[in-house]
Amino acid sequence: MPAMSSIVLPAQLNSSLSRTRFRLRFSRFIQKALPIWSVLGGLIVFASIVEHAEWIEPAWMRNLQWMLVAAMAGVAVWSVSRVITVHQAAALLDAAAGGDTVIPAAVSFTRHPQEGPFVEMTLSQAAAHTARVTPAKAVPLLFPLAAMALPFFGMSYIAVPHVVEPPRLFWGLVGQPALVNQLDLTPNFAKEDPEFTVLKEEIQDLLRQTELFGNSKTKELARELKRIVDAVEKGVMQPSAAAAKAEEIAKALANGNDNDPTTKEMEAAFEELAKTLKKEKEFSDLAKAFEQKDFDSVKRELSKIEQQRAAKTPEEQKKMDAAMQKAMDEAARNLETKAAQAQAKAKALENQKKSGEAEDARKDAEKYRRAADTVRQMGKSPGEKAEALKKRMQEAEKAGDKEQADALKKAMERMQKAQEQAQKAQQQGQQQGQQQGQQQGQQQGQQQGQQQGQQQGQQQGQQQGQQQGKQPGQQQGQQQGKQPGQQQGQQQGQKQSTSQNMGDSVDNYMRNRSEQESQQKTSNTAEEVREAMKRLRQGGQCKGGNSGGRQSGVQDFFRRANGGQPGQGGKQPGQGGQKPGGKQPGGGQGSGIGSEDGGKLLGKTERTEVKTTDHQLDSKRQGDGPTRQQIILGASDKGFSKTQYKEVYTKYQEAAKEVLKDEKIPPGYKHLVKVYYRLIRPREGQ
Amino acid sequence: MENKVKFEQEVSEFGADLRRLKEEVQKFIVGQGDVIDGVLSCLMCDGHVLLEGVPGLGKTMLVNTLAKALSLPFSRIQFTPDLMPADILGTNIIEEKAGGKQFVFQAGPVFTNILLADEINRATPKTQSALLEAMQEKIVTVAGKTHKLPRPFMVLATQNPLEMEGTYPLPEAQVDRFLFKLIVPFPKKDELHEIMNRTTGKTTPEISPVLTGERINEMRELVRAMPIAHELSDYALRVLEATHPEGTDAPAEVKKFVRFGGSPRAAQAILLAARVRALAAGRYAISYDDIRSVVKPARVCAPTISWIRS
Repeated sequence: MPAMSSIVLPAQLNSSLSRTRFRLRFSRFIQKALPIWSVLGGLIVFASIVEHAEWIEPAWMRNLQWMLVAAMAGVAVWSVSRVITVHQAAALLDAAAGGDTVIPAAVSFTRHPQEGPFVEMTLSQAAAHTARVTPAKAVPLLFPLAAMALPFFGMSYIAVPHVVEPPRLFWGLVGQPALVNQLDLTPNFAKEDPEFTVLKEEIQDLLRQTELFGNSKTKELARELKRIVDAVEKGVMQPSAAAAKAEEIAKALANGNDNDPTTKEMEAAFEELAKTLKKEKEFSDLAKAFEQKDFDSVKRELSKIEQQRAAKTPEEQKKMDAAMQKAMDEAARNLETKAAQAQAKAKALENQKKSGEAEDARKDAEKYRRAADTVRQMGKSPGEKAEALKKRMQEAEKAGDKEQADALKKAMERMQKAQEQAQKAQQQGQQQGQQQGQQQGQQQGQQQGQQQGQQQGQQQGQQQGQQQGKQPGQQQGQQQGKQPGQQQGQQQGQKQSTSQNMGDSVDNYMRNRSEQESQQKTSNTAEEVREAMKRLRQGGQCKGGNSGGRQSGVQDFFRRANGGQPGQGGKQPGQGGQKPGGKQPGGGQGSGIGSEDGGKLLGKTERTEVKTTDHQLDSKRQGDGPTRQQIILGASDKGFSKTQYKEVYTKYQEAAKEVLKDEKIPPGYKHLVKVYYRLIRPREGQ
Repeated sequence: MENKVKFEQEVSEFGADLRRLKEEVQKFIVGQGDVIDGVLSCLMCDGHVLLEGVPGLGKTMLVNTLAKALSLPFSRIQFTPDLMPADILGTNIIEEKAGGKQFVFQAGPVFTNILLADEINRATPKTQSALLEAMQEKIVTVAGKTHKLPRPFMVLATQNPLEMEGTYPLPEAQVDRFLFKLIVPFPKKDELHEIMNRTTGKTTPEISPVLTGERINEMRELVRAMPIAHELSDYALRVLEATHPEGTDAPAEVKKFVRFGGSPRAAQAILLAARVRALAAGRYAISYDDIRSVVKPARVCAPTISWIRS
């Protein structure tokens, strides 16, 4: 047997093997991953539909979609990462080339080296086999039937945001009752995109509230929201960009939430104070106001108390101050007792290893302790209160509670600013009071003088009488005019009474609460703007108060049904309306319903002679519903409601809010309900 | 290049010789292609073959014809219950010579190139063992003296699966000494027609020798020179393992019915016979098909079957 030199695996075979392995990997991906991808793709499309239809929380659906995408990636990795040996590729190539195992044998000889003529001949035979076959023939790529669904799902995924919409108001779809149409009683908001109209009104409300109660940041953000909505309305800004900006604003407010920590403490303090003040007869009304948390009434009651106090003797005043101070001290003591009880409870819970509940109890204890301090501070002057707040801020800084310290700092700044504003207002009040007093005094003096002069002038002459009459009048007027300003100035310079200090605290609390409310309202409105912009984007058009192609189509349908020409604007008021007797001026507004046919869409109309028969119908009910007459008579029997619409609205809105908060309602429908309530909210004069 | 051409020629001659031998045998033997292939594979692998079939199927005729086609010495032993080992191996006999009487070894019929052990299961185990030792070791030891058997040496044993009374069926350990156990099937009808024509007529086909003993030895060398790819030998071993009930790849049927799987000799038989098959086809490496085609005659699937379990 002749000896031969050893040879290596031919390059062509090597290359073919590499390509076959790659192809085999890809084939596995197609065979294994694509059917699973089809299932996952279907789920993604479904999740996208649910997200855009807002059947459940869209964020959950977005997360679900990301999870499914991750699963797809995982499946892809799994399918291509399975081990594919060279021998497998060689076997496939060999099978395609004729299947006598020459190629796998050749590969094996290079991996487990053997020498001899047999090996060399096998290698050359393998090379010859490889030349006859391509990797494509060895591993044909067969797409499974299930994979055919993928393009469909892909297109569906792209189409979903354009097709699927969250529930929104389509007034056109609902149609108007015939009576309403005849009387043209369609409310104004129904003629435009309801969401857009409501949004503008919402922002107007917000601007009013923030101008009154908001801080500079809130005011600026509210104005920014208005600018955004105006820009979208004018078509300067895309709804998507507007939605993004509104989201930024909402986030800015959420991040920079500077709620005053003293607010809750004050609420606790007021609650306790209501109980102790109730024991003093002269403060019972004040206690009631505190109890009802009606702080406007509290202010009024405190003002009354102040007036009563001013009318009393210094001794009585002292007694009154002492009574109030006593009530405050008692409230503080009660709160301290509560704090001690909460602390003991916290310890007991901690011993029972209920750390969560123990933490809550500790927080309660802290709240009551702070509330007790607040009650004690209530009777003190604004300066002393500011000093106490400063001390507390320093404590928080020392303790490393930066968030608390910042919030307290802001609260202190607010208090100082409020004091400055109050002083300014007082100064203005003084000036105005003096001016008014002088003017009133002069006028009154002149009138009195004239009257006196007329009486005296019968004896002394008109000129003299006038001169004399002017003097006392002027003096008296000046005195009268000076009195209020002087009194206020004196009060400011003197030490304030306990009730006045309490009033300051109530003022401070109300200011903080209003500010927080305005901040919250700005945040809510920003969310609403974002939501509305999202819907406008989905609806297509946003300009001109049109809520979208679908709605415009419906409106067009109704217009044409009412005899309008295609493509024209709304109804033609008064045109073509019948004028009974022909005596009415033609320029007036008609009912909106023409008596003529709707154009020549169906060709020339023809009248055919039809024999008609008149029937006398009885007045019995023929349908399911009551007749108009029955409705009117029924209403007159029952009588008309005397309850204010505002009250009814508030009651029902509160109930709806509760349901929206507690029930599992899809976000899209929540929005629908919110928009509905905003649409029917009482306007000025209602 | 010259070496390559020579080698190619050598391989092609191997196939051609084997084909000529088969054609020569088939001059007399009608059909039984698989059996002839099996016998020739055993011849090329230096192995022995056990032919099993009912009487009259041409088992003995096949061996006779093969011996004639090879122009090699041929012996036939009809095994009977009273056959003694010495009747096969030979014995020392006293012979008078010039120097007086002395023991001289009288070689038995085993000293031949082609040995037909007809109805081997009719002899006693003692006699069977004597033959089987000669088959395995290719030597015969008589009275402390070892005698080498001639090369090539091949035993073709036959056994009848019917009439088992008074027979001594070969134990598995002894069947294992045969490279192949071939089942001789009953001929098909057209084959029977041909058999009738050939055997009942006036003339009988002439068998001429086509291979010499030397050439057979050369061919055996070529067979053993062929390397086997690791994956293919691994495949053969996995097949073997699968016949063992304790094997991880064993099918449920094996686990249920088989007590012992094939022996390593079965794997050797597979790989040797597969080489012959590849060379006969003019290939330089064995294929999976080669392995699969020889699994059955190599008795990998005929280990001890435990019917008790079933």
